[in-house]
Amino acid sequence: MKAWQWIAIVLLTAATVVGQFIEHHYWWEAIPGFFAAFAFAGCMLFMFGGKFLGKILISKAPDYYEKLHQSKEDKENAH
Amino acid sequence: MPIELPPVLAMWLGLIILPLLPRSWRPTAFLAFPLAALFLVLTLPVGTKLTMPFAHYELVVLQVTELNRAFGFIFSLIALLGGVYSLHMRETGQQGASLLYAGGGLGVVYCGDFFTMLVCWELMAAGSAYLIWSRRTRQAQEAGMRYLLLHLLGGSLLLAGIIIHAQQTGSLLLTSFSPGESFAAWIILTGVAVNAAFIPLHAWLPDSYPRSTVTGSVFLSAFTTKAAVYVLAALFPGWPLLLYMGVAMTLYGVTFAFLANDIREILSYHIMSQVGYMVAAIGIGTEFGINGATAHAFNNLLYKPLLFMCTGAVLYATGTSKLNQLGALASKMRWVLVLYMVAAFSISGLPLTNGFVSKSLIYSAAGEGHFYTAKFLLILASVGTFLSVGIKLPYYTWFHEKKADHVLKPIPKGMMAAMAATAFFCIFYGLPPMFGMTQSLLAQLPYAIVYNPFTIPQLVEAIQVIIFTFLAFWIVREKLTPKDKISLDVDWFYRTTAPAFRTVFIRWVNVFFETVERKAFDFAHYVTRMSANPIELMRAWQTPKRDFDADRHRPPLAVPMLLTLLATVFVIAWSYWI
Repeated sequence: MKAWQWIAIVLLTAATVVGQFIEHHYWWEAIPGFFAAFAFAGCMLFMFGGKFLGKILISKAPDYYEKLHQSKEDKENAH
Repeated sequence: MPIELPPVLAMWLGLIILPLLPRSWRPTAFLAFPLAALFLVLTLPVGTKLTMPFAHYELVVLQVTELNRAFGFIFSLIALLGGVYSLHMRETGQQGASLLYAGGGLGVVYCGDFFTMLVCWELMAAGSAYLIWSRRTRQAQEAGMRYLLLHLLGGSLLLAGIIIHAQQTGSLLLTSFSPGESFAAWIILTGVAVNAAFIPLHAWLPDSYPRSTVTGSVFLSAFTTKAAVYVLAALFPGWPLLLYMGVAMTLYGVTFAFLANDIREILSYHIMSQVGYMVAAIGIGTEFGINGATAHAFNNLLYKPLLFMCTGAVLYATGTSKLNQLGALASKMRWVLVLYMVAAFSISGLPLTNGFVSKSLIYSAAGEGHFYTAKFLLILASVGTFLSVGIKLPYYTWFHEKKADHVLKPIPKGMMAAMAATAFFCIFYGLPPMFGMTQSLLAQLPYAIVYNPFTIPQLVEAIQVIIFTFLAFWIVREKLTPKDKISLDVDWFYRTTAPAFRTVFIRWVNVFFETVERKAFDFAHYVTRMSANPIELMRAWQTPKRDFDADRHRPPLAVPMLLTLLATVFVIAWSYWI
């Protein structure tokens, strides 16, 4: 990321906060940077929550099913 | 005077004509059929109805309503763009399957009775399964079979529901059910739920779509789920279950997408997530909600195939779609990246893309109905959407470091042209009202509304969400380097228990039939031996045992000959007497 890109991001965020003061319909829309904080926290939740879920339950080696069936077949052959 | 023909026939006409043409003409000729369908769709006025008698019922093979017009238009358009994308492809089988599949989608959308819908529904399953098998890998073959089995189950449930419904009401015409109306409605809903990828019936989607062909996945990403969304909007508007299910689907989809390593699997989970938005909007059920669902389906049918086109181009050029083997392709595939980002921003709802318009419409529908929890959860899901599709996928595909050396195959012109055209529509339908383009999207919707998504609060929300999702990713990115892993989903239950099912339903059944067959043959054998020589058999029972003696055991021929003679004389005499 280049310096001008960071500046653009900051300026755009500042513009949205100004916009919040001009017009809002719900009380949460009036809190400066409400959706910024919401998105930041939500994104962290997805990244760490997702990684955690992957570690304990979901993510497996790519040959997971092949090995599973292989070991079952081996057992059957042994019988 | 418009030509009153079901647009599906225009597509299926191709199934007869294409094989008759020289092989080199077929990819170009393919385009004629979606074009013809598009022409029919655009010229058929709302209210057109075409009926056909069938047994005791009157089938409505064509019915144009305010709701199905938008679906029909976008189905035909994306079939056309998919055809342009496939111009380099020389496989007639895949071309035919695409036409069968896209035609089935149009049939489902334009029919007015349950029977026609069911027929088109099953044909869609057949066409789409062929597109998965066409990849011709062992994984595609297995995934295609799982896909087909699950869809046949869905189709059977649909049929069961339709039969019960027809028994109870005596009518086959499509009607919208009020929430929890009847047992038949629940069964039909379960059948449709398979195609709409409801949890826990969704596992076929991320299992099969990433394994299909490059061109096939463009069609797959379009029709099955969105046809189901149309059926939900037509039959089940305002069912509260749909709201909960839709919200759950959006979050489930984005969580699993984040864990996926295959770029097309990431997108497949996002189909589920995006369909969740539509399902939730249908669950809200107000005019606003149905409009939101239709608009989102319309837009989704542009950016989702575009995402699959671009990732398909990566797969075509590099030969892999695994995120842990890609990287640093930006300098070599710059235009694919640019077009991909148009779609990625659309799905994330960045202002000036079509996704922004329809997402705002759905958020507004949720806000208007006072479903604030649902609204926040949907916004949370859009954070996850931008995280996976907008940042993680492009970052590790086109940027980051090179993980493997790829000799890039040049991308065919047709593919690039289709991608550019689809990207154009993504932006076209997202331009602010001052250009009149948002209105041209709104004009497609079933209920006439005046709506301006470009209000300050909506712009603020969309921009803040996108910027701060990106910042969160940028901080943590070192920890997210893709690894070669697969994700377990609910398909784990049927994939691990498959051997047990096979034992019970196939091996045991086989053993039963084998036993019966063996016994039957033994019996037949016994009977044959017995009739060939009864005395030979009876000899076994005689005590004491004696050997066969012709003089003792064979009765003299004289007696049967005499009996035959007497019988003949008697019959002749009797016939004269009569």
